[in-house]
Amino acid sequence: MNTLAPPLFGDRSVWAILIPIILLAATTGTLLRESDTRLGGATRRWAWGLVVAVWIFGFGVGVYHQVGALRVDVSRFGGVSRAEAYAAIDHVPLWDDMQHVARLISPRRDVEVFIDYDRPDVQLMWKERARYYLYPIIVRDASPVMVRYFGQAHTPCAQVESDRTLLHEAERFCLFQVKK
Amino acid sequence: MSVSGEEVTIGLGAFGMLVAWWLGFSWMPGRAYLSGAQRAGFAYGLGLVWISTMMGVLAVLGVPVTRMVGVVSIVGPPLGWWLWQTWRLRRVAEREVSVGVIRPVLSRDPWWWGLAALLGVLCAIVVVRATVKPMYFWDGWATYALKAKIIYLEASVPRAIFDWVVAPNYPLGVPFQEVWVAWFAGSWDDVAVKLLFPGYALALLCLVYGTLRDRWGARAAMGGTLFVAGLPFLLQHAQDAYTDLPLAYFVLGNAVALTRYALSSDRRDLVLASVFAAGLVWTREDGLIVVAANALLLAALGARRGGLTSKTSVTAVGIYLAFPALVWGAWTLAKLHMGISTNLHVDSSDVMGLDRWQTIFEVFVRALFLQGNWMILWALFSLVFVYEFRNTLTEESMFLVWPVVTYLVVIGVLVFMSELFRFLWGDTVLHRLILHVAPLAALWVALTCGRWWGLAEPSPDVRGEG
Repeated sequence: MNTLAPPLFGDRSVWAILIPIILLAATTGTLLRESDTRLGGATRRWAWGLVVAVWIFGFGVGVYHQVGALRVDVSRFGGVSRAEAYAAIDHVPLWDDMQHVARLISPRRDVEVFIDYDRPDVQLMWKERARYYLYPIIVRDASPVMVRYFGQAHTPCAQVESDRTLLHEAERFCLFQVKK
Repeated sequence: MSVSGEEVTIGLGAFGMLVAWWLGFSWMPGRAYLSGAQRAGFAYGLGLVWISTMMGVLAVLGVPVTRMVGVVSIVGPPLGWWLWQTWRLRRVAEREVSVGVIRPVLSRDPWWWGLAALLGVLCAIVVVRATVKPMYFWDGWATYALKAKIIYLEASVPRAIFDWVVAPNYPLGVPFQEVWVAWFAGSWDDVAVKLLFPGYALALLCLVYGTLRDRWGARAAMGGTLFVAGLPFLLQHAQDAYTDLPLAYFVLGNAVALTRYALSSDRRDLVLASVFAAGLVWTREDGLIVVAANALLLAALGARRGGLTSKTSVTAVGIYLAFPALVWGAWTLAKLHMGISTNLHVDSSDVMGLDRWQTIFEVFVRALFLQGNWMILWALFSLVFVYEFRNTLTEESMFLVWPVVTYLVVIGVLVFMSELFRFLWGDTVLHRLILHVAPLAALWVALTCGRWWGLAEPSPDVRGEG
């Protein structure tokens, strides 16, 4: 989830073949760099030519990879609203929902965000994204106000937290307050 | 055709980025001092270091870091300096230009245009990818942009920011730069803020082109620039908001400025390197490794020329360390005051001793050579390093090679000692660390291979090029 750029070809792939060739060709070119014989000069040119050819190949693949990434980005995000773009990143309309929460709580109040989802990595991700979206409302554990976020349709809020006062029920979250 | 509010915001953010560039130009001494491309390359970093340092000063002084106060206090001094310089040094600048060799920035060579078009395509892809989507990957928003958003909305650096935001020990240089763009955008908009990063890539490529052009013809210089620009991982990082590309840019700028100083003994280059060293430590903590390596190299250079304790040597090291020491010193005091410690802890893993070293070696080899993120760069670097070992100690090469080697070795030792070891297999941590020195390594490889292939012009002129 946090990977910015996966390796282009994975481990021990095409580069495992190309790198020894490059090392051999560049070594040959280097050792012959002062050779003034006809054979030496021709070998040197071939060796460096091979290095340049492999670089051009790698460059071409790199450009292809970037164009592919561009197509993915444009197809996912091109022409969509910011809310839809955030929803595409989070896989749920977390940004929209946190805007909703922000309208229900006054700024600079604390709120606890509890993510009701079974995958720990998604829990962490959504909680931190909620922190980012909600500021200047501060996300803090053990706050008297709590958002319970499901990311999908959920059981009625009253059945979820019976020992808290329900402040608001929405499609994908419940907002509670500790009973006084 | 109608323009949406979001597009206007992004446009305003881009204007903020251009102002940062202009601030750097305005601080640059003498027009004939650097070639056009190098001026453009250095200006971006100069401007951003100035902006982020001034914001830090304002925050420490308790001045509200608002748009009005910030823009006036940040733009005011360079604007005054620029007006005064323009008025007073106009004739001197003209004289300097007339002494130097003036080369046109654009070439008439069709090959040059073809290569430049390829570079343009890469840059366009990066810019579109950066602007089409909000901040995407973890560190970009969780570690840096959230801090920037808080500073932007609070108009200060609240103490609470360090209690619950991820990695409080990370320097605030990039978050302050993001606040700068947000001021121009008029609201917190993480797409507009992200424009900073393609800007870093563009400035880095300007530096590379300018440096190669000082020694080579236009076509070869553009080819060499493409060699650096084609590094897949560099391109990938130019479109999201991580600090690894900014650090790589400052590492490169530092090396180029110090090489200029080593060749010419012009202290303006040393001051430039010092400002870029401040940029290094204000961007990431591991920038310290490169600053320390460069200070040692400067001392070695001084020792070779007139003795380690000679006045020139001590002054050079002193000038170089002045700006980073101020920035890092202030940041360290602030961290001590707030009780912030490092997030890099000693590891108590089961894998120890020789097994640990063997694992590190294997993972490094795989990352450097076999995973496609660097193509043939590190294979060529290793080879050139071995065959040119003697030349690595010359003024022309020492600041381009040894920071790379030192950085990779120190990172290896840190991985051995710390819990970084556990992250070796995870996503792209090691690749991101390698990125910090990869463009510099690529520049040196390009310069050396270019020399072997006879691309260097007979009488390189490092001064006064247009």
